[in-house]
Amino acid sequence: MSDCQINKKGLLCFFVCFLFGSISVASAFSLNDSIGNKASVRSSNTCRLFFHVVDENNEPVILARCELKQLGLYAATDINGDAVMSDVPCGEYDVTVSYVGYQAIKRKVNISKDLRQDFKMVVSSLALKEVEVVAKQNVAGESTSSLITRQAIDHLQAFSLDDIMQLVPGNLIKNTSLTDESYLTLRTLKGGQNATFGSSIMIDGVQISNNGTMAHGAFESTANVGTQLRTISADDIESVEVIRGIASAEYGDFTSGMTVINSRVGVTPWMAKVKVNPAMRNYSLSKGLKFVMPNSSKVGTVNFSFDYANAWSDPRMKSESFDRYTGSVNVAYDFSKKWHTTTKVRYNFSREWNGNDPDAVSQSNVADYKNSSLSLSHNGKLSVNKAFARTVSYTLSLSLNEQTTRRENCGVANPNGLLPILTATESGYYFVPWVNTSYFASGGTESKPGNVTAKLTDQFYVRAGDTNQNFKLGVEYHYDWNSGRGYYNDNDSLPLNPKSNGRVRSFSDVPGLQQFNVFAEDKLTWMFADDRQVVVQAGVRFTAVQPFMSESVLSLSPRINSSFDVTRWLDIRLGYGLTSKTPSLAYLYPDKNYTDVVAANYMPQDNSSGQLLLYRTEVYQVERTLGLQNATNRKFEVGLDLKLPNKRKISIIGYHEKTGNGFSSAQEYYTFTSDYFSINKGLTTQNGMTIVDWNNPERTDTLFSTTGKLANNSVTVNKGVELDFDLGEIEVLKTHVYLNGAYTESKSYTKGITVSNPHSLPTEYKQYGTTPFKIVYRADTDYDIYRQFNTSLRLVTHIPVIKMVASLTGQAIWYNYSRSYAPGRNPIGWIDTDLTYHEITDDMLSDENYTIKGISLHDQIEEDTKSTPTKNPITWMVSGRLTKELGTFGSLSMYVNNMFFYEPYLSSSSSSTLTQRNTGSFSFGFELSFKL
Amino acid sequence: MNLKGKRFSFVCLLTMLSALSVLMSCSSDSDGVSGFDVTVYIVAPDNMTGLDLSGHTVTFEGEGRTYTAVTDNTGKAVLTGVIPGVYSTSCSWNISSDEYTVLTSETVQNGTYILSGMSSDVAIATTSEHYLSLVVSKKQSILISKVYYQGCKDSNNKNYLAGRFVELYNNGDDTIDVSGLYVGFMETESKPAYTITEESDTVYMKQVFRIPADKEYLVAPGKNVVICNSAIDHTESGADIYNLLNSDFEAKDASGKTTNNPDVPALTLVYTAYPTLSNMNLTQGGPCGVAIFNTTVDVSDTTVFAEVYSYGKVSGAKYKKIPAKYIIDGVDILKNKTSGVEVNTKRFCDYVDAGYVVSSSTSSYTGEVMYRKQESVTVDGRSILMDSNNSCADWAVATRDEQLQIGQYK
Repeated sequence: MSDCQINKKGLLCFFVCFLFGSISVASAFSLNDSIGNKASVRSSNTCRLFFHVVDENNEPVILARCELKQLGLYAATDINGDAVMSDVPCGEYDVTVSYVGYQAIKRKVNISKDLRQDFKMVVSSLALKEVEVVAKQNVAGESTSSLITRQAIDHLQAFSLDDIMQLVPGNLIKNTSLTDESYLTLRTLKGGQNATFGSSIMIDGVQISNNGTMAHGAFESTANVGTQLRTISADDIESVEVIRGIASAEYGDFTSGMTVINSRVGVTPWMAKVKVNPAMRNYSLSKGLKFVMPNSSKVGTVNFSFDYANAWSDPRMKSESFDRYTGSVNVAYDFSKKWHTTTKVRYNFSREWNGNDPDAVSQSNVADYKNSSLSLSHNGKLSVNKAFARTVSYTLSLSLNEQTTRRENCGVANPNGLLPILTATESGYYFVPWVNTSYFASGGTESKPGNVTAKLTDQFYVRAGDTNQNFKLGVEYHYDWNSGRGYYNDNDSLPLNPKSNGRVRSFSDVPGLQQFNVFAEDKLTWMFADDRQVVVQAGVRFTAVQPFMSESVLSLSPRINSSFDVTRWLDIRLGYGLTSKTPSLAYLYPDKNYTDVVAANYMPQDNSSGQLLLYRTEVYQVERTLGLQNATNRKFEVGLDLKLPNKRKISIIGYHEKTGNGFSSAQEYYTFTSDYFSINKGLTTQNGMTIVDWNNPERTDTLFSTTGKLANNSVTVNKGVELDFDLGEIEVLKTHVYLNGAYTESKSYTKGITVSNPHSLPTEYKQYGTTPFKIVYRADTDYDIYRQFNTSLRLVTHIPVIKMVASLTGQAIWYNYSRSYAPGRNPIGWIDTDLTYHEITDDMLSDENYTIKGISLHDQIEEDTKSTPTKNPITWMVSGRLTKELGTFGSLSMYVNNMFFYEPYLSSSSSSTLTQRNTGSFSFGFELSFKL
Repeated sequence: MNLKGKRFSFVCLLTMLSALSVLMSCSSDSDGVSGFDVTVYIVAPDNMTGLDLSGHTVTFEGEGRTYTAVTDNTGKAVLTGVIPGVYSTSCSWNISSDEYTVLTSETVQNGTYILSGMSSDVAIATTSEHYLSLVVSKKQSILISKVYYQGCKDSNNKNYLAGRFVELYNNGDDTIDVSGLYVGFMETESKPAYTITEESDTVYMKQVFRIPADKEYLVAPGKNVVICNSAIDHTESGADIYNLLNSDFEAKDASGKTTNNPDVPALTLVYTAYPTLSNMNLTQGGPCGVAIFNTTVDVSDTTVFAEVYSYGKVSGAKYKKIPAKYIIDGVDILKNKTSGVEVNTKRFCDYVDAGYVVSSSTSSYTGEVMYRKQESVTVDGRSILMDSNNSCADWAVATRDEQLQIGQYK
């Protein structure tokens, strides 16, 4: 399919959807008409809803968030604590008022005329009857997600976002160390590039983009992998929503899931926190102030937050450390009663240092990784209050990052005594200089990814009879670039990485990445009986990457989430959706592929001027990866929610997701010839100098090499069942019991073909590293499969009188299975040195004596490796946490992981060797926080 | 205090003192561990029933202790005072080819024959009896005398592997022609590719080289043959202590990544299990089993010398199967792991090498060289090296500090 056709197809799809969307709006409108409501919304059937919000001391609360759930209406209180929602159609609604640091108030209101509601907010503390220290699964009808609020984060004593992920069903409690890189993976047992690159993080409406990070040098591990969770501090977070299911069409550019983080906005007291455990320290300070513009009643709040974390990988030996500094200023300001804005400046600096113990006397060999990012974002909400534009929100953001690795005096080993210095960047024969001993080199990588995002969303509702429709339409634009110096050496004649792929590369030569998105979503709620409803959230998202260029990638992702209340206590949820992840700059513009082969190596020991080293360099440049698609994940979800008496709840969700076109390298080969000259033929000595006779090589080899191109050949299938049970409170013990767990199965394989050297190559080919042909097999017969079933039982004891909450978590991994399956396979074809493909037929395979270019075909049949699965025995772990408020001015928290220090020696099913389990899982720490 | 109280306290004091003195007089008078008597019977090979078993020394070595005893005419030797522990036991002596013929009625090649027996990991806990079976094999003149596989650290403390070599030595009294001699390296999988019970007559080799057979290459008695990967002077750059400029043969690197000396003749590569590895793959850190063998049949002929996967496997590297009867000399060098030496990973059967050599360190790049020990020196200063087909007794490890050079023996 040509690029032109893809363009047209995409645009056609987009127009069809837009048409569909507008038709449904129009029909809903006409339904409105037919029921008898007037077409104009400014009719007498709409009312106004007044909010008056005060705190415990009857002081007005400014910029409190007031929301009307069913219609998606939003208002913020002014300096007097008042807010108003106008033009609200009559009916029954759920209203929520929330503010940072206070308990949110939810109320049902019945509007038949103008109504005023008073809200008295209570400071959130452990003295209240209700506390939330576990993740809360959201209601059916929306995407499956877990909401983790501030109380849970405090009880967890999280050092970074990594710790917070433990509360999500299916994730295990682990000791996070800030000196380890850690990425977000959702609903999968196998990490790897596609899983982590496919999970996305959004902070305050701005998605952290990893598309501009380039692969090379020391940052090869971060590129195409995702944001490191350890760089995001947990102290300024108000809530985290981990979306594992089918997300709203508003979110895009991910495959497995999305984490939405909201920071604290509002007037808050001075908060100082200290968190300590044997390897890490974390200090933070934050404050929220209100300000009033002179000569007007416009109010705003300013939130400051500073955070410092420091970790040593081994406190006994200071050879690896991690430091993180984060500062942010968040200004929320109402330009008018209808225009609310939040402007945020966030600066984050993290540094990982690897070196020798400063107290040890030794040569320096230091690696310094620094990662700093500055982001500016501006979010706004306009309550336009027109028929098709109730609330218009916009986001503008600019993010500048700098990732540098600096290696000083790094020893480069030379074990073979002959290290060529390869610097050629074009194909050809080159006389290269060489080094006979090891040497010290310095250099590094400098990467400067940047991102600009602009988003505009229009939200409006249509109400007709018992149905509510909430529409969201929007457009989004992203631009990613990298202006870094790239990979460099201080001295090019002593390179840091003397291998073929260690050549310098400048990142600023790579073009920028443009992404254009359009989305539309409708959430329909139909109350067909008392307390019973059907909710359908359907949306579609259209993405175009590098539009109008030859390497453009287009995709369309429809999504639907629905729930049906069968009875008052049983909900069934169903969902289906596609999400796609755009390829990053590194995938669309890969580096040149270098292959270096020796053409002559003549080292007479008695004549140093006659020594020469000749290399044949072959460079293949894939300028732009054409035809690369977005990695698309197709998800299918089924679930049921049971509401039991006494507020108990059982939720079981089954899912099946498949990413059929994840990013991987394409197995594309090309050939080139390389001559070899030796003193026997091709080299002659004259007056002590060695001359190459270019026309008389000793031998000419035809070599195969890959082009370095990327394709969509990686397939991952994840399926499983997630359980989330709220088993209610045991009154006598004041203990609440929660049980969550998951059974997950992950299978991964590569589709297409694998190409390799034939087996039983005669020695005359093996010794020169050449091959007369390449043999081709199917790639999808081999796969890796992992299965795990784990549960976490949490007992949360909450005693309001002494303002204390303690939780005991028992985590058990009941079943752990892994297998690399490689059944035998027959070759399907072979590629000759002129790149022609020849098929291998069954007749050829059944002939025992058939040879291809002198090599037996029968030897190429690969037999079953008879791999046996590895099953690990049951392991369990008990962890405890305790939080106690000290009066009203602070709190103390403590935690112990693996409190019984259970690290048993157990054998697995495949080997009788005893290996220790749960190693490194024991940890303890405490947190002290002060509130003024 | 009144009189009664005083008396009471005096009685208490007296009782305490006496109790104390009783307790103090209890001394832990353990006798210590006394040695046991261990009886060892040496057993002649099946075809040598008339062998005279008397007057030979049986040695028990282990845990830093050595015990010896001499056998009587029934082959019994009694070692006294052996402290319980784990030992290895050995016994060996030479017979001439005439004596061999008298014992077995077979006519054999002229030369010296060795009778040796060895048993490792013999646990002694009490008075016990042990049997040591003897095996007979021909004492060859051409032997492997040094194997330097560990590599070392250069002056910048970085790994350096280019100075490694294998030294062969003429231990006999006649000049020998070594052209056509094969040098093979045993496979080095972490789990041995075959076990001695499964394949008792063959060995699996990962690489086979051959000294060129096109012309003669004579080695006088007491002279050596050095085979290396890079025949240059490694002392120039200070990377290693060996000057290999005068090596006899060099395994040329076909991929051009090593400095090869065009003046040194090439060692012919007959077989390699690994593509792109055309020079000697001496595994630093071990294991590194080396054997020299001779045969008139072409080794590259796969119908006689098959190329197979590891026993029971269907994929991976393929090794060359060589019948053990062709081996002239072999040395089993094992890997020293933190959990100890795994003796069951030996590749050679008893008549090739009944013992093993192991580095004293668990790490690689130590600069150690394994060498065959000197048994005696002739009147004209020529070294005679030990050869009892048991590298536990014949071989030793020289550390980098000892600076043992090519052609030096001790």
